Amino acid sequence: MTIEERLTLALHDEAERVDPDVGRVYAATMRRLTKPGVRRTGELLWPLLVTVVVLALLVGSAVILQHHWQKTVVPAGTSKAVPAGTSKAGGVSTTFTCPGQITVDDAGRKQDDSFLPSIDVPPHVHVSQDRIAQAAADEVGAPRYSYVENGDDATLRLGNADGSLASVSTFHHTPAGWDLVTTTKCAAADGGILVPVDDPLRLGAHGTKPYPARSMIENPESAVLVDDRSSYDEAGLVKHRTIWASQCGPRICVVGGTPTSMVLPEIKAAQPPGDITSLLLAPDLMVGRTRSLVLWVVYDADRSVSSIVMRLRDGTTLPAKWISGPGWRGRAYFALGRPDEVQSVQVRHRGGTTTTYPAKDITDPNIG
Amino acid sequence: MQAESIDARGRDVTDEPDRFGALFFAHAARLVRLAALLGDDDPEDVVQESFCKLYAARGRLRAEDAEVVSYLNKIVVNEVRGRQRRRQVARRDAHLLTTADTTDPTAVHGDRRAVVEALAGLPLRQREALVLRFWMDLPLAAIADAMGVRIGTVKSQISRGLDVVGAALREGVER
Repeated sequence: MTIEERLTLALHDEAERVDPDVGRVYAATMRRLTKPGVRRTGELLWPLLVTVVVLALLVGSAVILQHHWQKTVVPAGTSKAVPAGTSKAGGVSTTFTCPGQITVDDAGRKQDDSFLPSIDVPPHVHVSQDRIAQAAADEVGAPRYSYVENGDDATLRLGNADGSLASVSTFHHTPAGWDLVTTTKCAAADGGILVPVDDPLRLGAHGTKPYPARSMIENPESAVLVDDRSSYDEAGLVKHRTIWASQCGPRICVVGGTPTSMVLPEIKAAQPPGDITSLLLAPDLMVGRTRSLVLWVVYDADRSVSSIVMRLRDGTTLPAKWISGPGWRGRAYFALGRPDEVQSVQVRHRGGTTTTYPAKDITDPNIG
Repeated sequence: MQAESIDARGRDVTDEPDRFGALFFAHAARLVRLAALLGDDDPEDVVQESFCKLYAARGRLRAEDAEVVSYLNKIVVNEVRGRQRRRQVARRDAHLLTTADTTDPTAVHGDRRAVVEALAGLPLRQREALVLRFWMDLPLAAIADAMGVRIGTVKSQISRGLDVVGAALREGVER
């Protein structure tokens, strides 16, 4: 069988394992539909448009002048209301300050196509082109955006809250709609996506305020900050993630991410080092990326470990950092290094023995 | 007997509830499976929300069946995509239903596990393209419509996704 045939069979096999109770789902849907607020979009559109017009008049002539050139797309058939956006227009730099950029276009430079914004207007949508651009910015959570049309060409810039440029996308208008021509977004210089900092191998905060432990982890009273650093997301926007560790039962829970998106491995005691590098970056962003750092953890519940070091290829060593918090039974050791430099991790026990773990054999604690 | 109903634009919407119910029972199960294959951890909720959105735009119910079904596919794809982007699911390995099943030693079973694992690691658009192509057997234009991208993008996503899945399947054979 070909790969395509095997994939098709496997997908059908997997799909057959999902056996929904359609009657129950239908009943739940109808209950949801009877809640207030579910209306025909046409009924929503006119009050929305009236509100928009009134607000536009109140904002004043400056805004009207800024937007008078915008093309309003007149749809055929029904219309769909677009929810209010959160991205702010304007205030985005026109030049990149990040150390590297990734460009995707139709000329074969498709190194990373995780960000392909669209400003094309679906036939059922009845809003201005600028509003569609704002929706594209909202979709990736860009705090700022700027959108400029020049004839049949358009440029969408997404920016961080401080106005720094995250991405530039250019579009060309054809009879079929707006086609993406090229999109360029921020990245690290080494091909990874960690935002550079002065001391990358130091654990702890790196210039941004960590998300509070109480919003991310159980037993926040026993939580200890492990790390907080920023990375470029799929749209080139700078987003930071926080890693906390706390005691959870007989194990250590380590959570990494944001209050709305996190990964939570549980670390057993007396296990080989576990690879938790994925906590530094959102799991989806790890796919196909260069790993510029590795993060390993060991939970020493009975304090039988005297020290843990990374042995580097040049013969030197780098100590792991241990942390312990209120109510913890033992210590957790965190080793942060560069994957191309670290040869092994050595766990030195108080009895005088040393156990060496080759770096290449260290796996995810949830899998290995 | 159902009363005649005219909406604010003077359109006859008498048959909309019947059409909605018929569409639901005809397509809900398939759409739940689609949402599951796309990696949502609550596919039934995706379908409930999708039909609510269809109901909110129920003027579309007067369109041809194929157009409504195409619209439903697009709603589900967008709903799954929106949820995954907003939440960026916490559990790395909860993208698909991966219940261990050690009683089935067939080659298909081995492929299923390899495919499930490979899909879970794919970028979302590649997974969408593969599922729409090889499970729903949609033509490229319909996939492009459902994903909101151009046909060329669909081709590249399928090609790249197949490379990854193919490697996973070959690796499974070599084990």
